[in-house]
Amino acid sequence: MKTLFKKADFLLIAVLCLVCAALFLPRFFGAGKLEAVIYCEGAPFRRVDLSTVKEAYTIWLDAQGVVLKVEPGAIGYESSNCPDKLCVRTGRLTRPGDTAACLPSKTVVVLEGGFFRKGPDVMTY
Amino acid sequence: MARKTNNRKTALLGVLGAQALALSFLENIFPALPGLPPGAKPGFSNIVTMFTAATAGLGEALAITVIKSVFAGVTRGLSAFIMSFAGGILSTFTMFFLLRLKSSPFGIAGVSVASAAAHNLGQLLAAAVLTGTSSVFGYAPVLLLFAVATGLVTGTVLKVLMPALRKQSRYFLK
Amino acid sequence: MGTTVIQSLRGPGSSATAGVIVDKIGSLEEKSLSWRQAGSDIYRINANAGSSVRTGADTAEWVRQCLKISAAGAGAFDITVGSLSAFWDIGGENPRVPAKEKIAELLKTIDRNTVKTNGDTVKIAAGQRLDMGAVGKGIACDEARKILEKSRVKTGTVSVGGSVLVYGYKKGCKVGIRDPKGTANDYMGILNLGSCCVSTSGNYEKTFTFKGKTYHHILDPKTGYPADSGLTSVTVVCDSGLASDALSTACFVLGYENSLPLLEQYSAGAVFIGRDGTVKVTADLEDRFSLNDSAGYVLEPRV
Repeated sequence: MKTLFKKADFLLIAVLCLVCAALFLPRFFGAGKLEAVIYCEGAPFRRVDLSTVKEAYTIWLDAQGVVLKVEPGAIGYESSNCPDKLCVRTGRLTRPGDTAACLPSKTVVVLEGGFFRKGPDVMTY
Repeated sequence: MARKTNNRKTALLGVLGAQALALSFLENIFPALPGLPPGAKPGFSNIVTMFTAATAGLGEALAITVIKSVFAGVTRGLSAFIMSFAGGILSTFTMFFLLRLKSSPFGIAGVSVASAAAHNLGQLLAAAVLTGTSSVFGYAPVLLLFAVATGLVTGTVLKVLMPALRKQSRYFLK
Repeated sequence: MGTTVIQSLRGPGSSATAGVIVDKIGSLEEKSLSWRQAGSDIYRINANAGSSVRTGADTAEWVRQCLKISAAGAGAFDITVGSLSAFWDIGGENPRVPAKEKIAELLKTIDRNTVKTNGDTVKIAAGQRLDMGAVGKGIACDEARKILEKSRVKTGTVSVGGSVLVYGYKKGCKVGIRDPKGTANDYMGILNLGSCCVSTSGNYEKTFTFKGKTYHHILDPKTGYPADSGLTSVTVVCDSGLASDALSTACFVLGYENSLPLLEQYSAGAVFIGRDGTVKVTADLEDRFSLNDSAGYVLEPRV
């Protein structure tokens, strides 16, 4: 076992790099992105790709009277005109499937996507 | 004479085992890199395992692997043992097979990279079983790249240390 | 109802179908089930208590089904609690604790036997009021299923305020049961199900606190007060959405032991969360239920 590099070694490394690139590809086609969908009156109103968020920012929905806070990998109700503030108390949504709803403003925020999910597909309560 | 040789062989194995452990211990100083699962390490102890697989036999190389795994288990718990063992077994068999092929087309670098990749695969499989989910395979692409890089490093280091390691073996076995 | 509808549908025309379902649920509330909205069937039945009222064909049928379940559960679930629940107004603008005498008075109006239906007409006794709040969401699930069956959607889930329709699955839909002590996204366990309907009744959904005591919205039709059978929540799995919703209310009122015969009668399964933190699962769901270990509940093994 004297030689460090032989021809086949380069081939092996090249093959492994290719396999690696191939495995990475699905991610760039959205399979791994975490997307927040904001519903107004039951219809999707706006989509936010949380996996590409670099800095936190807020979304003002004046017509609905709610303010959402968007962070890298998370979203949540920051404030609302509703009496109960259940939406705000739900906190930050971070996992696919996480949901927050504000009945008076008729808005719902659901997180979709994510690569593999261990949690439930839907919640009963 | 046979008994003396056996004792010497055991002694050499012990020294190699200790060196593997020392390298294992040292590389834990390596910080967790972003994108990599916590606990991904360069695998410097593979230098010792590869040397053992190349110059001694499969049994001896496996012995080193077991020593490493047990050490991991004793210091870091059962799951650490399982991870180390799974990765080590796959890695050791790979390197032995590649090294001992009659006309092996691979040089030290290739064997090193292949066994590093096998090590990571073994650990991913163990992790999937331990956590009960397949989501760990999301790490596969990054780990593969990491295996190529660390394999090249350890292979090169082994080549450089080869004369010294042979000398160490001769000392015990002559 | 004013409920949150969350849908996840897969197949051709999913977006359009989702829109149809949302519209249907809205009109269900408006035209049929709401006791608050003037013009809805239930509103008119209540407003004309003592006379026969012609309703949409479905409404009368739903009333009949509710009466059957009511009888089967010995009155633990009863749509004639309208007067009582309206007075308590838990979840409304002015919740209050009725005086004992008022409770006794209101209890007299709770009687499923004075509800008469014939074809598409419904008649209740004077002084009575119907409240479909305990089955509305389940009915919505059934209606959603009807729409899905006519569409090209292959699989999906429709959640109507926590009542869930699982559609097009042979198995493998993971339905999480909300952890009563957590927030909206915390689950205490997961049911692995095929197509069915799932409804939950819990004492954490609508409450109000008065003089240090907390009252929840599931009233026991026999006592007139919030049901107290040692449970925090019950989740019922059944083919029929209406039944799953009605049964979850009935089981909450009846408690674990007394619920079992009723569930069997409707081929339904259930998960009971006791106030002491113990979880009991009926035999048919045993293999499908997995506890979330980090939620702090204890699963009672089947004897």
